[in-house]
Amino acid sequence: MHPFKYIRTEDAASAIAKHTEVEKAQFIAGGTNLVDRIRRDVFHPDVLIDINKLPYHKIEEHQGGLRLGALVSNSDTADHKAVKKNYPIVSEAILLGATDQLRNKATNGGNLMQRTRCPYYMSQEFPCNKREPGSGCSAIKGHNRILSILGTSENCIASFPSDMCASLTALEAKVNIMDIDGSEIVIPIEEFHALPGDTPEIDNVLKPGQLITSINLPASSKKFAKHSTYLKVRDRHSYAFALVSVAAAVTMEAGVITDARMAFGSIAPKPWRDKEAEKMFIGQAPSKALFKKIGEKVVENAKGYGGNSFKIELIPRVVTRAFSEITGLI
Amino acid sequence: MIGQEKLRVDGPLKVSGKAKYASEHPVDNPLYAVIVKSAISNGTITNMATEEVEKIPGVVKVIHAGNALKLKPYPTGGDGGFNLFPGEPFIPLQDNKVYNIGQHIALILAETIEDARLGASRLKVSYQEKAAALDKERVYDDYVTPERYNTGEELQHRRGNFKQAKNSASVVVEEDYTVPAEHHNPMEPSATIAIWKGEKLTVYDSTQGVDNSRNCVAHCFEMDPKNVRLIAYYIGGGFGCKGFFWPHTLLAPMAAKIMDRPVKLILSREDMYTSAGHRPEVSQRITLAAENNGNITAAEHITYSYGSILGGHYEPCGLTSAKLYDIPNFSMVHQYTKLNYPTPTPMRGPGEANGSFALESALDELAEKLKMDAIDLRVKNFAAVNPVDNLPYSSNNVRECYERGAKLFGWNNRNRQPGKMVKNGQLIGHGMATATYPAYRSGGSCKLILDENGVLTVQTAIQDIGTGTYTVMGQIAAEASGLALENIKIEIGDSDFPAGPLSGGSMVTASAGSYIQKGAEKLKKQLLDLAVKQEDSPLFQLNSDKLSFVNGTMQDSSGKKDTVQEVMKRANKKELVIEESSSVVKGFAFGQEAEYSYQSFGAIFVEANIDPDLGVITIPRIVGVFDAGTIINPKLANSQMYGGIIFGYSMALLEATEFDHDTGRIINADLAEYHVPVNADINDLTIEFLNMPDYKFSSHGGRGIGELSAIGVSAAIANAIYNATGKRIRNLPITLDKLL
Repeated sequence: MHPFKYIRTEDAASAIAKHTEVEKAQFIAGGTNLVDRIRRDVFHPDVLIDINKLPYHKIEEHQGGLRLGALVSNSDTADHKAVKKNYPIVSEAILLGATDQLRNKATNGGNLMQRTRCPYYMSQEFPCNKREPGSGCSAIKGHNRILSILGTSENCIASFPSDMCASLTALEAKVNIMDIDGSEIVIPIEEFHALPGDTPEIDNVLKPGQLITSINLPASSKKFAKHSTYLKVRDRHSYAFALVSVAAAVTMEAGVITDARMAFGSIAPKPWRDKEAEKMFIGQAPSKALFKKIGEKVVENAKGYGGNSFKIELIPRVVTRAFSEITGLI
Repeated sequence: MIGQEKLRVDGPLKVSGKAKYASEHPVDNPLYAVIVKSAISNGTITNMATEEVEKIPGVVKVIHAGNALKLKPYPTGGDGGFNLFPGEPFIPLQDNKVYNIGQHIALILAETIEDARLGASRLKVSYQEKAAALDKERVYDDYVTPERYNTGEELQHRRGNFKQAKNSASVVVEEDYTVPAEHHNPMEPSATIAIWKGEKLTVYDSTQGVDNSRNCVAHCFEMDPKNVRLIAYYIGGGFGCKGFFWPHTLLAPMAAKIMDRPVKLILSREDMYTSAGHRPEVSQRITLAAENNGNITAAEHITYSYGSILGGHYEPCGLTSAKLYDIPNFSMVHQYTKLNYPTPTPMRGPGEANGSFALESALDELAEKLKMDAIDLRVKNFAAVNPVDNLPYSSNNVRECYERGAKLFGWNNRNRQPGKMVKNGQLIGHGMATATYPAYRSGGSCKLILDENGVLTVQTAIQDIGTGTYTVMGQIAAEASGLALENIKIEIGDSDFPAGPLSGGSMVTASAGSYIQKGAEKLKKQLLDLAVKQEDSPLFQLNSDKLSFVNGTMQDSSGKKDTVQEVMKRANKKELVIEESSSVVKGFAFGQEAEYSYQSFGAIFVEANIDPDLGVITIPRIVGVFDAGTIINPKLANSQMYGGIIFGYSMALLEATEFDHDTGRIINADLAEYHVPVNADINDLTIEFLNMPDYKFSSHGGRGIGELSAIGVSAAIANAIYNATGKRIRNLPITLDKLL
C-alpha cells in the first residue's frame, strides 16, 4: 500500500483547491471502493481529501423532483420516503447492492465514482490497460465471466456494477458538479460515465478537482413509479454484484405501453441504456414475445468473450421477466 | 453429562475478545514480518533490490535466500505418521529457485506491520522465467500413481473383475465429473509469533496440531523438541489448511533468531491462497454397472488431479466409493500430474467431499436409468462389511439414516420425473445422497491434576479449532470423574502438555476423549477408595463399588454423602495426579491389526427451487440425519453439522478458485470475489443424530463428526436440481448460467 496524506476539509472551495494543488489527489467520502483499491496496491494517490464535512448531506425537493445530496449515504437514500414513493427503483437497486454496512458508509456521489470492475485490474501483477495504459488486457482471454458484453473495446471489457446508477440512468437523473472555479456544471447521467474505447483508464467525464455535489431526479420521471422494478440476477442471494441487472419502467394507458425506460447494470462499462430498443415498447400491448424481442434487440451487437457469453442469453430473459412483472403479465 | 446440551465454555471469552488467537498474544518489542511472494510459477530469482527496501523508514531488514539461515531438510518419506508432517516438504529461502506462484521468496521485517507491507510491495524482484506446467487437463509425462494415501489406504485398489462384470451388466452409467480448486478460508488467517530466550523457543501459531508443528520446528532448527514450545489456545477455524505444517511457521523463528527480537508474522487473506494449501481441482470418471434389479455388480472410480512440484497432498477421491456400497467388482485409479501450482492439502472431507459428489451423482443417474427410487438403490447395495478390507463395520446404521431422513423430509411426496413439481412459477426438485466419512482414532496421553479444592485440571496437547473441544472434553472428564463440570479445567493447545493427536480426520473427540475418560475413571475410583478408608468420612468402610459419584458428591443408596473437597482435606493432599495414555489406533490402514472397519454415515435430503427462466437457484431446506455414534454435546454437534452442510452447499453452488491459465496466478484471492454463502443463501436446516453408541470404536461410543456433514451435500443438491430441471450438472459449482 502506497503511503498517502490524509486531509479533512470543511468547504468545497478548499477541497477543490487542495485537489488542484497536488497531482495525485483524490477525494474520499465513504471510500468503500477507493480503500479496496488502495489496499490492493492498484491505486496510488498521494493525498486523500476527506469531503465528508461538506454540506451535501440532504435530500431536498427540487423543481418538483428530488435533489440527492452527494454525501447522503446509500442507506439513507434508499430509506427516504420521497425516494421510495416517487422513484422506488432507486431504493430497490440500492437495497439489492452490497451489505448494510457498506450501504451505510457508501455515498451517492461515491456510487457514481466507483471504478469499473475486473479481477485483472485488481491484481497489479497482471497487464491491464485500465491500470497501466498500453500494457494489454488480460481479461479478454482470461476469466471474464463477470465482465462486459456491450460497449467494450479491444482495450478493456471491465463492467460497471452499480445498481443505483442503472436506476438513475433509467430515470434520466442529472449529475450536479462543482467546477474548479466554483461554477456549476450539470451532466445527464448517461453522459457521465465513459466507455473504454482507447482510454480505458478514464471511467467518467469528471476532471481533476471537479466535485459532485448532488444528483437530480427529475419530476418528469415520477410517472414511472407505478410500473417499475429493479431486477438483479446474481450468484449469491445477497452481497454479490449482479451478473445482469435491469432497471425497468413503463407508463401505461388503456393496456398499451406509452413510455418505457430500461437501463442495465454489470453488462457494459457504464450503465447501459438502449433508446432504440426502448422505442419498441411504445404503443404496444405488453406480451412476453414483445419483451423477448426487445431483449434480443439489446444484445444485437453484444460480443461475448467465452466466460461471459451467457449474459447474451440471459438479457432477453431478464427483460422479459422484468417487463412482464411491471405490466401485470405475471 | 455426556449427551447434554452444555454451552460452550469458551463462548464468553470469544465474544468478549478475551480468547487470544495466535497473533494476539502480547509481545515485548516485536518486529513485524510480511512475506514477499513469488510472482512467477517456475524459474529462478536473478536479483532482488533489497537495499532500496531497507531504506524505507521502519523497515529493518529483508531476509532472502542470500542471508537466510540454512535449515535442516525434512526426512524423505516422512515419519510414517503425523508427528513430523509438513504440508509440503519444502523450506523457503534456501536457494533462488521458484516452483509456484506465491512461494515465499523474502521476508520483510519492520517496526510496524504497515511498514513491512509497504516494504513487501516495493521489493523489486527479477526472475529468469521457465515454462511452467499449468495445464490441469493435460497429462504430463511425469504423472504419478501413488500406492497409498496418508491414512494407509490403497489408492489403486482392485477387486474382482471390473471390465468383465461391466460388460455383462444390464445398465451402465459412465460419466465425468469435475470439482474446481477450493480454498479453506478460515475466519482467522494463519499467524505465527516466535520468541527466543537463549536456547528456548516459544511459538504462538494458529495450527490444528501443536505437537506436529513443534516437531517440525525442532527438526528444521535441529533442536531438542523439549526446547520448543508451540502454543495454539484458540484457533479461528482451519478446515485443513492449518492441519499440517507450513513454511511460514519456520520463517518467524528464523527471523526472530537472526534479529534477536520477537517476530510477529500474520498472513494476509491473499497470502492464505498460496501459503497453506488448497483443495485441488479434480476430474473424475465414474462407471457404475448394474443388473435390472438394482444390484450394482461393477464400479470404477478414476481420479485425475495434480500435486505440486514440491510434493505433499494428493486428493484421494475414490476411497469412499470402494467401501460405501457392496460392489463385488471394483477398480480404483488415482493419477496425478505434478504441476507448478501451490501445494494442495486436505480440506474438510479431502477426497470424500468431491469424490462423493461424483459417486452420489452417478448413483442418481443409475437410479434414473433403472427407474428406481434413489434410496431403494442405495439400500439394495448396502454394505455391512467393508468390501475393501472385508471387515464388518463396527456400526453401520445408514439405512436408519435414510429412513428417518426420508420421513423428516417428506421424500414420499417426491415426483421422480424431472420438472413435474412446480410451485409459484418455480421448478421444485428433491434430491438425496449418502454422507460418509471414516472414523479415525489415534493414541495420546493426558495428565489429570485434582487440587485440594476439588478442581480437576486436564492437560493434553490437542486443539480446539473452534468446534467446542474445550467443552466436550470437560463433559467427558466430568462424567467419568464424578466431578461437576464447572470444576473441570481443560488445558490444551500447548505442546508442553502430554502428547495429543492432530485436529484432523475428525479424530480428536474419539482419541483424546477416550484416554481422558479412562484417566478420569481412574481418578473417580481413587477418590472413592480414599473416602471409604477415611474414618471421618460418612462413607467409611462402605463398598466403594456401590457408591454413586456425580457432580462432586459421592453417596450410597441410603443417602450418606461425602464431597471431593472433604475427602481431599482429610487426606491432607495438595493434589492428586493421574497420567493416562492410549496407544489405540483405529481406522487407519496401518499399524494395528483390526477387527472392524470404522465409518460414520448419514443421509442428506435437499429441496431445490429453480427459476426456470433465469436459472436462479434457491435451496429452501436441507435435512441431514447422521450416524456418528454417541453425541457428546448435541448443541455443539448440531452447530458443526450446520457448518458442514453450509460447507457442502458452498461447494455445490459457489466456490471455485480461479487460476489464470497462462500465469498460474489466482485472480479471486479475496472474500469479495471468492464466494462463500451468506445468510440469505441458507434457509431451513434440520439435523438429527441417531445417537447409537459405537463402543467398539471409542470408550464413550462417539465417532468424529466434523467432516461427515460436509459430504454428500453437493451431490444431494445436484440431484435435486436435476429433479427440478432435468439438467444434470456434472461440473461444480452449479451456477445459474449452467441452467439457462
